[in-house]
Amino acid sequence: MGLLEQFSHWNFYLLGTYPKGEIGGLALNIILAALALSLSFIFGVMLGYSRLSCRMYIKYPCVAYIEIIRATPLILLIFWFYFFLPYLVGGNISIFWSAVISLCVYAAAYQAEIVRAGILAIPRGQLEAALSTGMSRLQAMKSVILPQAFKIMIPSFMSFFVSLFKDTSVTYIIGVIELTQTGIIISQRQPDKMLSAYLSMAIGYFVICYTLSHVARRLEKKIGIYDLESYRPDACRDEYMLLPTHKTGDEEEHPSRICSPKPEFRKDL
Amino acid sequence: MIKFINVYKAFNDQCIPLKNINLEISKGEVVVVCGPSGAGKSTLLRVINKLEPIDDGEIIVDGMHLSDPKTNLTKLRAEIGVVFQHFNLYPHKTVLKNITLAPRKVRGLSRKQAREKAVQLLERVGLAHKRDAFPIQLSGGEQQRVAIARSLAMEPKIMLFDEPTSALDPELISEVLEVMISLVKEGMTMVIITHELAFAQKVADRLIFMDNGEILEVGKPADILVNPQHARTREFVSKILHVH
Amino acid sequence: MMITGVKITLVLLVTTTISSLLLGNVIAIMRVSRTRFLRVLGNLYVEIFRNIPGLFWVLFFYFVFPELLPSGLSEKLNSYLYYPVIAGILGLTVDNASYVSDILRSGRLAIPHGQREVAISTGLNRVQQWIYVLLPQIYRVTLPPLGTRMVHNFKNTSLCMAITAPELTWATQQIESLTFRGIEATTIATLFYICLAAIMVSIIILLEKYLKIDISSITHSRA
Repeated sequence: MGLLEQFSHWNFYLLGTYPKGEIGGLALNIILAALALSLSFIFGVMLGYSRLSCRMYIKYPCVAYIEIIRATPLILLIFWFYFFLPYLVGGNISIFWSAVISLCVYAAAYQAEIVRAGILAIPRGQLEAALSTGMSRLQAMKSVILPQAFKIMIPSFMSFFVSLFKDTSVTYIIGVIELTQTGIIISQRQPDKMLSAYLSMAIGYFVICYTLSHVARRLEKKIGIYDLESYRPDACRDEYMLLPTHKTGDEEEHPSRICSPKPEFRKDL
Repeated sequence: MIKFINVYKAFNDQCIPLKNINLEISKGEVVVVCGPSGAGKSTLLRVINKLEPIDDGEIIVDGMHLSDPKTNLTKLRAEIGVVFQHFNLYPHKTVLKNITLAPRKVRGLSRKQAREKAVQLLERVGLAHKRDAFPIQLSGGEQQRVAIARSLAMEPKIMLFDEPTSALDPELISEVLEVMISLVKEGMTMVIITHELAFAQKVADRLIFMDNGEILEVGKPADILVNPQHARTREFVSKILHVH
Repeated sequence: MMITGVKITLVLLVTTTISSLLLGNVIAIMRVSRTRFLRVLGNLYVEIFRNIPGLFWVLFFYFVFPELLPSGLSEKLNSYLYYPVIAGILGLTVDNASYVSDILRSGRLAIPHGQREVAISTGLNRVQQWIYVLLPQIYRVTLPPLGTRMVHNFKNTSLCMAITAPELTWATQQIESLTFRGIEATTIATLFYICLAAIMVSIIILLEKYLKIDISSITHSRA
């Protein structure tokens, strides 16, 4: 019966104090994740592409950025920006934007890895064919490699979005009133309703994540059938199923990656 | 047209090394390269448009020095058409777009001009009816003919063929060879890697036999195939002829 | 305070790594079992725990879990000094185990059917099949993704600051609020996380090299 009474709070869970005050709750989680993903997208693509560069002064800063961000807990990143962004900007900055910026910095590193893996999954012959017809590297990337790579990357981006969505819950620590925060606020005001508050939180996260990850899985299957098979039949299909499509930092070392394309692009190409 | 002067290429994990290659190919000449796998045939071909860099020596293609950093690689490559063993068609583009992409991006042709030319080329390789198909929908022989048309669309001065028929089913080989023969008749400068010795005998002005990154024999195809000088060549030729 | 923080973080890391491996193993085996009930149960577990953030589970075990227990026990737990750490371990374990089981399961599916058949035909029983034939191969194949998962789990130990477990991130925030020397503390903490993550990655790479040699020598002697 506790759950039934909870339904009067549904607005708070979903939208925060929206019509009267600021938007919050589950909607804010989605907004945060979507903003972070889209704002950092270009940056992520550039990072991922530059990481494959042969020029040391381009490559290593990117590697350093990606590896440092990926090795730092998100909470610490959020604190870094929460505490130090005001110094940098020299004024107050709302917790919402400091959360968005830290999520962007975080997401860019992971997106860079997705982009890198996507580009590497395209057989080397494609680049060679494009170069042989006289295209420059940039033209080859733009019209031949990236269109194919993005298609492969779509499921990875989807599942990264799911994980980013879950990660937005961490922003409650600096006081962003998203779903976790709303649940905690309610359970603190009415301790007897704690169980149903947590249940509502769980349902909120579950519904969104479950739907999105199922769409991602279906897309992956579809793309797996129609696209990957049109590439070299022996190439890198197994590890697509085996490895989670993001957060795979060590994929070069993977034993089944015998026939994978060369991880480094070369200067002369 | 193409001149190799003391070309060396050290071993790396991507290709077979080359040792002391000296070779001159004149305009309009058709040269067939053969030899066992791992002999460096592909490397020889790929250094011509610098898909692989060389470590020593010099290659001069159409007056352009490859080791000169000022050489415009893009321009050089636009003059050289390459046909690969595995076709390397762009799977996300239709046949027509595969062909028009480079002329539009590199030569700056308008969509209409590029299209007209592509249709012409497709007619020439006998695939005008497949212009809107995607590469997956084509057979291997058809894909390879599209790949040839794609290279021709740039109006190259030189065509390089890297085992164009070895990934094809036997009954599809002749359709690709026919297209190549028509190119020979037009007087195109061509370097062809192939194991089709009968074809080589028919079209080649010169035949080159390679092993271990070295050129062992150069000569008229009839001479080499009938009367090989080198023991390695003899062994290779007898094996190949035995199979056929 | 920082040193206690490091200690607690390490405790969290070691315990959750081991416990989530064990739990993940059990769930993975359930998910490929022949019994339908076990399969459904395993899949249900993974769906539930993968689709809800780890932070939620940490909070859940701290705030809600004691309430569900008999009142005597819950009071004991709430007054126990290290209960935040225990709740953190529980929360991280159930979260991480769902990922681990997913990785192990795909590893199981990657192993050729013939391996199982050989194991059966040499007369091994089902437990022996898993222990001697399947699991060693599964761990070898899944080592890289498993490793990245464990590094991720290590970073997630910082979530325990939300329930005042005195680990490293919590310590830095305490230092910030007590002495306002947040910059120094946060810098040190970040460096610590990066270094330990790097150490973990290199251990995984070493382990992988070692296992690779092991396997190749076996196949070599067989040939």
